[in-house]
Amino acid sequence: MNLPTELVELSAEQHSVLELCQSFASEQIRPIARAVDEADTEVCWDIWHRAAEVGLTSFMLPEEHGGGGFTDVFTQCLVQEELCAGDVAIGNLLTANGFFAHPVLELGTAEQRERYLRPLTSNKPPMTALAVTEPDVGSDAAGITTRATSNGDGYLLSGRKAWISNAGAAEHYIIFATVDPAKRSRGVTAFVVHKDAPGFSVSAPWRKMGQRALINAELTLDDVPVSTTDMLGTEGAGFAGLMQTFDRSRTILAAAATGLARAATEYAADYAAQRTQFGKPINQHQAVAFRLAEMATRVESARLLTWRAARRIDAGLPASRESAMAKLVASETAMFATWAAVQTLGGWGYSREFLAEKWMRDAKLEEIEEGTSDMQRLIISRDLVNGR
Amino acid sequence: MTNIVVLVKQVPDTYSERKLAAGDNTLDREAADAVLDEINERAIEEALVIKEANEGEVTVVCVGPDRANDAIRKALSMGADKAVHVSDEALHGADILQTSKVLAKAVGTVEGVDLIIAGNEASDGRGGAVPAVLAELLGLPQLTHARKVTVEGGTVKVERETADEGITHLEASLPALISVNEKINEPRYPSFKGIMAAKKKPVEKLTAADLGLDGEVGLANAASTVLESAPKPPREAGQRVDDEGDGGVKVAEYLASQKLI
Repeated sequence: MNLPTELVELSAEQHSVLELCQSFASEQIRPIARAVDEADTEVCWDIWHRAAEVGLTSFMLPEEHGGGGFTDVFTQCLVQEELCAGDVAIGNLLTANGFFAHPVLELGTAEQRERYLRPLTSNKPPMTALAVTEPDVGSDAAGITTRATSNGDGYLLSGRKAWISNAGAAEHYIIFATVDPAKRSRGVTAFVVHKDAPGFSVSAPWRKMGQRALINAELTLDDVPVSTTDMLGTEGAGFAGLMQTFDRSRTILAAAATGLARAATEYAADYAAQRTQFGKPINQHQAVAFRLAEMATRVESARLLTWRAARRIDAGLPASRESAMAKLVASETAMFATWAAVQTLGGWGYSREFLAEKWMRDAKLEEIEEGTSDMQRLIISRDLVNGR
Repeated sequence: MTNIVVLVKQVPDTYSERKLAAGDNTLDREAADAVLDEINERAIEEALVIKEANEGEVTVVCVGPDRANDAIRKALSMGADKAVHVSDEALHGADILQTSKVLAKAVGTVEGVDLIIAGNEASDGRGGAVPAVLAELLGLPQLTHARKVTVEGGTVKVERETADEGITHLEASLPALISVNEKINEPRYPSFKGIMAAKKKPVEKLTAADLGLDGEVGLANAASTVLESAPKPPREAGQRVDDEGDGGVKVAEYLASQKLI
């Protein structure tokens, strides 16, 4: 690992955080990666609790609510890359409460922030979930169909949510619903729903190609009652909160994809140094050597774009274009680097004895979640056309 | 209440290539990544476990150049309360006796020490004598090579483990000095909150002069110096045993000839 610290000097605390995350990723995460994948749809509570003891599940929450206080996106990217170099799915699971916390911090009152975030910083924190996607609504988030109907005291929520991470395991869910579909984005409103709320149900976990440490399922809301104290912000405030969440989440996912790509690159480089064919290590054969060069170069590019997006968000600058670029390049780099690792390992790459084939399955999600690569290109192109 | 001092040392990472400097055969600190010695992490863990059971304060004492600050910060991130760092160019080339003298003076600046915990041997110099020398200088009982430690009331009990003598049970009244081996515990990770808290914990910086040792320490006054060093010779080819139905016997004979079984 060779971070571009010539560009961004890291603080003593950030160095300590990196060292901690490297140890945790190599000693705790990587050794269980295969077993978690084979277990398919089992929630891995054990690693969740061990990570919580160290503070990994709440390091990104403000100190005033008991969190670690590393609220900047840049440090979150440092952490995400290291954890995901251990295993991308487990890494994404361990920091997922940050995605729940962001709309609460952006839209919630002081009382709501304390009520929903304090438990996440305890020694045995619950998991949480964020529900935007619906069976027929993906990237077009303004077209959400889950309805919030006012009933005097509060609202009744009705609709379905698809692909929800931590569904079934989470204690609280942020549900994005519309108070008026005709208003499109101006009708989108965020509500917090408890897992035991009447009318709220979760399907069996969906079986996925990869990233199986993350459990995904469908939610059904059948007139779920919520009070006004469970609404984050005002009616119609949800969409703006969501868009800001996307800039952050795409940047953090770019760091995750960079970590995965780095793991594949390092593994393939080690293998190519040891595997001998035709009387020399295969890294002395140009076809392999050049592929390794391309992997390393693309990992480095992905990280640079990610760091730029993170720095812009932390500086309060517009970052939709940069976070889309980072997510696009990093996720496609992860797909390429994991494919290239399988190719470099040859037959062994195709075997489940090695992690390369799992990494290749895991990588595909990064080109899809939080906006597909097509959507990232759309965001970038619109930003170019409209100018900034 | 048990107030504990833990001795820590920054060493070259055992994963890097470790070298001595060409000029004076002292450690080439630039040649390798520097880390908190792993045995010290275990010493800190033991101190924290004792503190959690008996209350008290854990103070880290370190002799080393300025960059040893990183090792101290890791100890503080794990949960130690404060640190004393003796850093002085004049200490360059200090040997075991001098280092122990400096440590004795530095430990003397900490009030009300009940227990000193050290690693049994650092992974760089591997002298393994500092804990014993320090105990002599301070006039404390020494309970070295501990694989298990129990502190109760005013006494400390230790299971001492060495290759020659096996396991010995030792007991002493406090204050005392113990050194721990690799089997003592599994050290905890520093936590994120610990990393943030470490920023605010006091680190007292001292020089040889502050400890009244000006002119007594350093390579020129050392009782022992390294005159010559050579890299480890490359490993020789192993002995090949062909299994003709008696492979197991041959392996056993070889192990017996090496006194391994």
